[in-house]
Amino acid sequence: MTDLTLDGPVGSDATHEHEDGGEGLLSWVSTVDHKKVGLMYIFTALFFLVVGGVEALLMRIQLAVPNNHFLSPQMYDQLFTMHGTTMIFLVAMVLVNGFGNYLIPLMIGACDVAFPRLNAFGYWITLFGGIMLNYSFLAGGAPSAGWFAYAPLSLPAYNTGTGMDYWTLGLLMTGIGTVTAALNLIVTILTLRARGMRITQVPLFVWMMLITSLLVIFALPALNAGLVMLFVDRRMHGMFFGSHGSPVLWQHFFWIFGHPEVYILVLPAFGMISEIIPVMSRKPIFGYNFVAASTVAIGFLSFGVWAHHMFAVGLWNSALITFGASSMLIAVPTGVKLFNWVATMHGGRIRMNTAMLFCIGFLVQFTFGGVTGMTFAIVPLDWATTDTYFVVAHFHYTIIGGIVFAMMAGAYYWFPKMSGRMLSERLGRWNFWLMVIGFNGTFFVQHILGLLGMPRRVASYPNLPMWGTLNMISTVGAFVFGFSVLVFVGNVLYSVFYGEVAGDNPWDAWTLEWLATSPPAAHNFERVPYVRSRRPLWDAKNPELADWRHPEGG
Amino acid sequence: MTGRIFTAGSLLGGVPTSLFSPASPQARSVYDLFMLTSGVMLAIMFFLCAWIVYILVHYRARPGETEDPVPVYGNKKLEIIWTLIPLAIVTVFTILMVPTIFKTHAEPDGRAPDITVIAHQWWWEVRYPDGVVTANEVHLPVGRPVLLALRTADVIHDFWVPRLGPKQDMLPGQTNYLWLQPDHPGIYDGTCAEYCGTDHGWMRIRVIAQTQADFDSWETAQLHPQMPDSSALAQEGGQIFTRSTCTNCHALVDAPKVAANLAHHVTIAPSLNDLGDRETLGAGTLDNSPENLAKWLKDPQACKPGSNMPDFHFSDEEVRALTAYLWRKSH
Repeated sequence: MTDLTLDGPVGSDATHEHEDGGEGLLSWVSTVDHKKVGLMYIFTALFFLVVGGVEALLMRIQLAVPNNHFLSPQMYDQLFTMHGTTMIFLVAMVLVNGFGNYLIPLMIGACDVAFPRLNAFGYWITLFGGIMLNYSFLAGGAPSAGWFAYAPLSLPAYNTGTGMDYWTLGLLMTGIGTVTAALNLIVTILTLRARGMRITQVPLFVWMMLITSLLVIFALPALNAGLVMLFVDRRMHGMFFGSHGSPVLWQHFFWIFGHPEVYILVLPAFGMISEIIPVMSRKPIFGYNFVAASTVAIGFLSFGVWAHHMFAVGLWNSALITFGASSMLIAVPTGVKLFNWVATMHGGRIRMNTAMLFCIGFLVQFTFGGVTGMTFAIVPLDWATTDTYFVVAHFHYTIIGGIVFAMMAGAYYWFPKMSGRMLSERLGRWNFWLMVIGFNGTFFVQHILGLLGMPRRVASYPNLPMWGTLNMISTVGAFVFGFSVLVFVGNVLYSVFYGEVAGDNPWDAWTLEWLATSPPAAHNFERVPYVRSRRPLWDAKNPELADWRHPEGG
Repeated sequence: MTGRIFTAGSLLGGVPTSLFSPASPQARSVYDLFMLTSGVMLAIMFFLCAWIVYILVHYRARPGETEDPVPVYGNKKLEIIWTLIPLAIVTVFTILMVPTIFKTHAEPDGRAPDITVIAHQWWWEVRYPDGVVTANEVHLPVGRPVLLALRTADVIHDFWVPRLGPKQDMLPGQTNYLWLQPDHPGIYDGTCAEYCGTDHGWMRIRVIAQTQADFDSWETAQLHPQMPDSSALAQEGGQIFTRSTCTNCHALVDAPKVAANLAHHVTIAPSLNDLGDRETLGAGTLDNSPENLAKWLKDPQACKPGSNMPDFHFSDEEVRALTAYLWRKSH
């Protein structure tokens, strides 16, 4: 067991003080512990998930039948703007930060992130940004220009009131929080790894969070700068995006952020899948190097595809062809990942628990989202389907069918580590199947609606053949989905108190977070072994078959 | 028709805005490309799902199997294969995409547009070179490609008639172009496809494709709009129309032979010439009929909440008079 040589306490910067003193509210408000900050991010995301979910259900009630008057069009416009903004910036981004904060130090054998105080600052400014954005509902009306706020509709000439100002300032605050979190994680991953752990030996979740954080550093500033310009246009009579400026310029700013943003959200989900499938299949990840390298390829390509959101603005043909081809190229590294995940399962001893079910749901649904995504890279097909319910269906397949299902898998997988108790498998099955039925019921029919000519972002619609029926199916599906989220919340609340006690390593997993106690102590580890491969706990348990003995395993 | 082979296909194709029943060469070339690439992508999807099902049948842990399988770390040959195959597919897709772009994307090359469409919040202004101005419907002759110039008077809009081909944004300070070339005479439904504010959902448009002869007679009729009839009711309506400042926004010709002047008229709201000829009221909100026009005049905000048409609180008598004055049909 040479690989379990204990090398003394880790923690190159273990000097910052932890407020371990109490369990009271003050211990949370004042904490700089990455685990508590991580959990606060996750709880914040869950809270805003409920907010954004209720907004979605209100919209689905409005759209259940043609010519409906349940909501005024003005209210409907506020709801879809806030739904998109909330789900992207206050749920998905926050959830990514939460899991990243909680897991990365544990996975690399560190006692905290590199800059704990900056970490707490990032959380709080994100939270305040979210509160400020939602305060707009009380301050005379929420923003209503859509989550990508195209000028000139977002300018005072067409958007009076203060909603859009809350939008720009609120997002600027969360944007600053996100950039600080990303910087922090990059430095943590580069400098605080356990002794012996090379950068090519970190768990794939850490690897993908590193790429995601780099994307944040390069993409978010474009949004933040755009937001400042929009604010100058709105409040100081600027001329960046109005009729004397360029409305298309805003679209460039937004999408050079907005498309990498898609990968900022999906790469951590890929990371979770890359952790859970191997453990539940009892095999190491197939082609670690290719999964990692394809992530880098996606990262680079993601900055060269933004104009596919703008194919209908009237670009010239050479630009259309270039951006169409570059967008299609992303399918290649994404395909490599999918094949490697399935190859990991091939020949395994698959444990069909809830976490694995969500992984399989992810594989199928995310692939379908990729299939329909091809439509938006092939320029003429984009012209036919963009701005319709087809694109709504497509990105919900990638974001819910992909990212949310991966996060659910992650929740079932890491909840034992975070709480010390297992989530109920019985409720887990209900959770999974209701979510599958609800999700596909809501969004599959929306593909058809789009192909039947229904545009997105309409507060009501004419009674054309099939439109009413399909919309009603979608609305029923949305309520089933909403119920499945309640089952999940119920499972969490039940299991925190009555769940089976987990122990340190309930899944017999191989990465360092499972070496810590469940939940981990404030300083994470007593001792961290010298790391010689990607699966230190496997090596310890199977010295004869240790990964580092194999030429490709180390 | 390829889209009508299956029952489901004919069901989907029966919707007036369905992409499954393309009705122009442009729409057909997009549809063919869509069916081809979707077929390939769905085949890949099917293969992946079949592989997953196979794995779930063969490699589930059976009770009692506690031993982990011997580790397999990867296979370079497989990685190369499943990198190159997708690369080959997207290369083919790119090659297929290029001619469709050139076939469908309108670049005028100095040709003057046949029709200019100007989008407003939340209606369409349609102008012809000879001075005819109408709203919310585009009349055109079949048999040749018609070039549309697309502009906007305010925010970004998007002109989209699904059965006739691609959609095209309309941006401030920019003119975009679009080919319309319906195969057959008929009415083709469309809509604004870029979110443009409160009534985005009720900014619908119709393309009315006609034989050249029908189109010519329509255009001639539009050049000589109907005058109000001489009934006392219509005369009273005319007075209400003037008194209520309707003309601040709406153009309406009361004397013969001045229709061409409309080309220079400031347009804030739809021209009301030959209103009875139109298919709909409120950009697709109501079917056009004198009864619905009266309903609209009585309470436009109830018909189309958020519309820029204010509620003038007309009495029922005033509404009747205005309807008699406004609802004129050329044939």
